[in-house]
Amino acid sequence: MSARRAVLACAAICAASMIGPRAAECQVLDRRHRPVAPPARAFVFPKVTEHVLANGLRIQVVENHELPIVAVRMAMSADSTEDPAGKEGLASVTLAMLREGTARASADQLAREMAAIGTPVAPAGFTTTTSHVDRALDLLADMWLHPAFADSALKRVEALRAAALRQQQAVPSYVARAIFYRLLYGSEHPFFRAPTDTSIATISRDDVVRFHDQYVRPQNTTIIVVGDVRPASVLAKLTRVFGAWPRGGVTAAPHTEPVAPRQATTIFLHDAPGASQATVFVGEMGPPRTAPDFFALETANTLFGAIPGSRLWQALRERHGFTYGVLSTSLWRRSPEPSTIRGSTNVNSPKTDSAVVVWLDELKAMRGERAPTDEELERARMAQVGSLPIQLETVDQIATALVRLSLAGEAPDFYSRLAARVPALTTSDITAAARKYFDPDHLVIVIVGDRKTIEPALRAANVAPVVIVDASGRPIS
Amino acid sequence: MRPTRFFPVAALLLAGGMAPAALRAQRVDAEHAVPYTRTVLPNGLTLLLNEDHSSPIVALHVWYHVGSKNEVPGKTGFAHLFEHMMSEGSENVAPGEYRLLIRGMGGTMNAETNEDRTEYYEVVPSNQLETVLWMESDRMATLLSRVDQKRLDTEREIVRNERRQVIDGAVFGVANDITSATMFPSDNPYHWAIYGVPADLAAATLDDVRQFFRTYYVPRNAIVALSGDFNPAQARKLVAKYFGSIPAGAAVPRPTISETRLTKETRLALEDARARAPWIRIAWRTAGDDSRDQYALSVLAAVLGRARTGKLSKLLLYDRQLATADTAANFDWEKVGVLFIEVRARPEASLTEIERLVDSVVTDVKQHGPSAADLVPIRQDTAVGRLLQLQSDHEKAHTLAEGAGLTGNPGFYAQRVRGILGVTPADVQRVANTYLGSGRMVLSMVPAGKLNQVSKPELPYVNATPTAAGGKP
Repeated sequence: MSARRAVLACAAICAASMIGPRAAECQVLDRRHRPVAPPARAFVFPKVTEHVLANGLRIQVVENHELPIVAVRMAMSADSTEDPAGKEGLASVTLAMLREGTARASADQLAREMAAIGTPVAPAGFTTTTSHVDRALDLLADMWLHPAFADSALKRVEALRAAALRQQQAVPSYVARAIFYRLLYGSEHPFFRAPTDTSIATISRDDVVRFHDQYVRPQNTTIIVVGDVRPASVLAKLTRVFGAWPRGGVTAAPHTEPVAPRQATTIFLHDAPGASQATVFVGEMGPPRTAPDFFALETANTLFGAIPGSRLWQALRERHGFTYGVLSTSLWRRSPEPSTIRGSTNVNSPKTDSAVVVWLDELKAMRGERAPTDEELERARMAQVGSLPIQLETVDQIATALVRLSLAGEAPDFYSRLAARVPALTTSDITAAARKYFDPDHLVIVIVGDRKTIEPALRAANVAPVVIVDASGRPIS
Repeated sequence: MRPTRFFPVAALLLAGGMAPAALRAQRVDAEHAVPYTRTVLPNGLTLLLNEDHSSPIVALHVWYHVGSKNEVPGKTGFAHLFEHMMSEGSENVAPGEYRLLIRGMGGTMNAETNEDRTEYYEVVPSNQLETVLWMESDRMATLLSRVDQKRLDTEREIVRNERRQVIDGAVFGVANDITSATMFPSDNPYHWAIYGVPADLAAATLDDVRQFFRTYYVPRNAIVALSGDFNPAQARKLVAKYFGSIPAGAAVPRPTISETRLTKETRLALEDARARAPWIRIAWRTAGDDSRDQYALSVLAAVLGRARTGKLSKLLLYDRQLATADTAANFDWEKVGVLFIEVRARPEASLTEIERLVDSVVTDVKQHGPSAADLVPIRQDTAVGRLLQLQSDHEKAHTLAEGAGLTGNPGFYAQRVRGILGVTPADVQRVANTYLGSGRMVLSMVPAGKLNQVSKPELPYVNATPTAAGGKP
């Protein structure tokens, strides 16, 4: 205690007498001494009040009175995985069309009404001040319940999407992602199917009307309201504006279509002539999120690749300077749908083979050869648990977190479970999860980059067979 | 601390802006200000504190008044490379350990370099305040004890990869470099891009790192801003303890900014093999943070470029359906500003026609100004947007430091909100006539080999496409 007081006193003297550099007087401050943090203030995930209207619409409300603002989000469980084959993009076009005019107001009129309250009310929701929330909810309900689906607006929306897709198809990172999912799940699987300019062009007004009628239904939807509100008045308002929305159509359910069988690890290389970097995807199928070792796998991911400072990051960026950054995480879906464990990075083209070798070494090492140290595990725990108050600081962050939980079929107490389970994990739990789920023998590795720079060294590295593919992932002989 | 009810400024404005300006300003100020205290340590370090216990977290920003405009030709891109060296460890923190320590306490961290400043920040659980102050002060006090050639070379590679990803990896990614190089003559330090000329990175030496650190990374050139869950008296004590003994440093040199303006139209073309449709960008020199015109210029940019209801969006995306996206923004730096309009054409649309339509919109604003109704959504956006910004400790610490560093006023962002709410249609018309003149850049961006899609191809233009060797645009 007294030593501590002496340091403070000296610092004060130094500060007061700091006319020129007089470092000698200040040597009592020993910078080698690392401060010891007092215990953290407890973080409690905010209370979620839930209610289900008679038509099946689920409502979640979180009170947060720090500022006079409110975030509203619509979580719809029927998504692009419901797109009929050949009409990929239908779900997202239907959602975009909600803001293109209603039975009451033209698209221009709607836009002017949003402008008057400084609140762009998107089909997926909005964040605004309490003074505007009532008006914004009226507009949101009008859009969801009474869309006009004008033909002229549909043509414009489709033209813009097609142009954007054509542009994306010329960008290596986008092409790499598309090839990766196609090869992992098979070209007919709903997790793969992605819109193209051709599929967008086939979507008619009838398709949009039918999709809206079938899927845009209250029993497929959760409304999340976070901010300076009282649950009772939110409920009254939502009942007024969404209560008459009729249940019906199709109730969305998880997909159970068979996925492509696992294949031995293969590198699929697609040529992007002249690209200065190669985009690399590495991944495999993972378990559904109801897996008993869900938190162990999440922690293994955190340690391996999910955050800056993970093993992959330290190796590929800090040790070798191959890349500006790299992340690898699990993409979780609704159980029993499988997850995807995947990572990606952009590497300096001539280093592509080395980056793949290092990646696979790090992945294998997770299975026991280099078990996590206690410090690594503590970092991975804190990165998930200690970070919660930072991840959930704003009303937008809390609302977005609840959307993700809702779409994943998770109860809102997820973060409390995470905070209880993760600190109890041991290093052997992490190794066990890595052995079970990180499978170096059944990886899909996709590389999109300058073939003539990459291919010879990649073949010489001899880590896996190399197959040259077109932009759809089909082998080119 | 903060008022819990929102006074409906919006309703007043909708009712015709009847409230006396002074009264309106006072109310807006009460709602939009970030309360702060300012202390200056004897070594010149400025400390700004915003106490907010709503979340058990704290944001620490350390803001240095040095950016790419402090560089010299031949050594461009150095301020950003140096930013990377700051995470290479200091006397008591091993190379790479900064990130591990922060992530290992559940925090986030990053750093950002622009033309005017370099900012380092951490957002951490509030019990870790002393640790992050210790870390940030360790690198301000002792960075040079760790710097070595191997780490400089690794960071140089990381920075090259950053550029490959952010600039080379984006369609027309060099457009910003070309814009800076065109808008500012070569003797103006805003001429070169933050990433610099690629070849210049190779020239950076350890001596440059040492010299740069000793010149700019000193307390008298730094601001520490804290926002979040802490006791202000305790925070002041801790900052004095860790930063108070660092020598103030010598007077910091400031670059001279030449006043040269563009006097004529410069027409350029840029090709990209990955592009599937042409884009056009038109840019004018405007004013910096030191000019009161910035409020009216921001409103002018919004009148033109507001999403969906702005004049350009309405005309080009919806009524004429020639474009897929449009942007108009006024970028204000410490000493200079640029207003630019960018329109992404539909693949089949003509840039020539789009340029004519953009010019007709600009001419209309210059001749008639916007209507009073045109300004209502912009005031609403400003009021709502500012309130949303106040949710985040990170945003608040940033705006306090940025305001204090660039204008001397930590409350600069609240002042800007007030300024924008006070702009009249006549103000917008005036700045449109003052700044949107014939001296400007018109950059046509076209798919490679499609120079026939350049806007007004009959007028002379220069093809600014960089060579494959990564030459200077």
